[in-house]
Amino acid sequence: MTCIIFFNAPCLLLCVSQFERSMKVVEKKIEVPPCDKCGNLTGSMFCSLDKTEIGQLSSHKSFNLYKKGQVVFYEGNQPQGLYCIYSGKVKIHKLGDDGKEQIVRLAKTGNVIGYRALLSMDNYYATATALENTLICFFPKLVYLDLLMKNPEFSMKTIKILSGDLKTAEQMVTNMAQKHVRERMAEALLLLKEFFGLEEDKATINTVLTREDIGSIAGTTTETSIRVLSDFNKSKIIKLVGKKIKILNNRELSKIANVTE
Amino acid sequence: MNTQNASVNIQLKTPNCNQCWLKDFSVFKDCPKEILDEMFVHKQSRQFKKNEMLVRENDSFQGVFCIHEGVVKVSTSRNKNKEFILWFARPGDIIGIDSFVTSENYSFNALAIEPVSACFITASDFNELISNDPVVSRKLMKDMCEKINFIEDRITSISRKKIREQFAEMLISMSMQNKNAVLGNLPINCSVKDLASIMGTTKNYLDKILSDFNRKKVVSMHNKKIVIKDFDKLSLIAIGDEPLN
Repeated sequence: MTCIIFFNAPCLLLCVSQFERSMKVVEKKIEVPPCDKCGNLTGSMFCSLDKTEIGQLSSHKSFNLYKKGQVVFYEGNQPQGLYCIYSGKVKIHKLGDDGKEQIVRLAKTGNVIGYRALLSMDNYYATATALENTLICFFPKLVYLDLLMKNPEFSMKTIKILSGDLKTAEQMVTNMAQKHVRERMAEALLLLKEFFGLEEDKATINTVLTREDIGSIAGTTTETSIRVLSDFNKSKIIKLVGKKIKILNNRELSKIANVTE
Repeated sequence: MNTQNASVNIQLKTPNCNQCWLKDFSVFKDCPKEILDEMFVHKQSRQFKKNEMLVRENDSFQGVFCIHEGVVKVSTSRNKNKEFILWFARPGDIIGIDSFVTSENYSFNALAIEPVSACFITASDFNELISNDPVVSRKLMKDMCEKINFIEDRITSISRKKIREQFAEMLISMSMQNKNAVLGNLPINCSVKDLASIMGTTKNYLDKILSDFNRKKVVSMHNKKIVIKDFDKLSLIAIGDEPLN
């Protein structure tokens, strides 16, 4: 009996590794359409480009699958190009002096990340990590910078995106400084709801984030994040279903978040 | 230094952008001469007294200000009418680019904390300038990126640091910005109340920290101005590595 197991074990291992290898092949076979046929084009920053420019962009692109938790780029590295999310979700976070992370931005399908470091010719100011399995197209930096110089409409679009970013960052720093943890947590939930949307039941937020992630959006510790969420759960404002969060009382949540706009 | 400055200012009350001594520090650094000449015709020079508002939050967007002289406090009071200071605009900085494309309203208050002279460029002129000249728009993008990075750094430090550490960090960064500063004697030209609303805390609490810093001989107060005495100790406090004594 033991003998059989002994002989079977390596065989099993071999099977598993073969299976894994075949999985990888499947992953590699995922195709991304050329940019002009991409469904995300109209909503992305590239919408103002004409056909030849998009063709140029498309011919230089490559794409990769990032698994959940895999890092797309690291804070402090030199940027080589631009990342455009084809599907999936990415968090952009910075490390504080004490080594704790703070999420500064979230990105979803159709968003472009890593452009700021390219524009300021600086190193990456933050780290990007995939929140789920994410397909990302990559454009070399020269192609992007070339387009930026040639097409004024495109650079206008970029400025628009930057000024939007600036405003969100300003809003965030104001909230951080003036609001209490409870208010910030409620606001973080509302932000997630607005950003990722709801599932078909129109109540569950369409993303799976750890308590730690939600805490680092609101700028607090994991412990406090858990405590506040379960408090919301108890007072029936939200319902925790595993890692998913269902919003039961939207009005109450906005009231706690103190959203005036 | 002061008298020199004053004489320059008198000469350049409504300066031509090409001769403006701030050109090299601003967005228009590499802008072609002809475009600047054209802009000079359209722009207006405006003077503001101390405590006068340049821009009020939620007013409809008219244009951007290029600061020529003086310091402007840019703040927001979105939350419960509590003031929060985003940044200080100095000569050469442009106020209003954050509201320039995305919305019709200003998203901040701008208040002159010294007598200010600023050049006003209307929205359509500025728009034209950026969309026609890739050099200016590249520089503008770069400036905006720096500003976003600055604010995101502050988000990280606000959420992760104690007020005490933040305060030390703030004092250091403000003394660095002061161009006339000499190490060892760094006066910070800002009231304690303003410092409190930069960090979103109260004046009383900062006074407490200040008196503690004062006792440890890290800073001292001279006619309501803060002077940094021990730069090394202050940087240790800022990174949360304060010596115990």
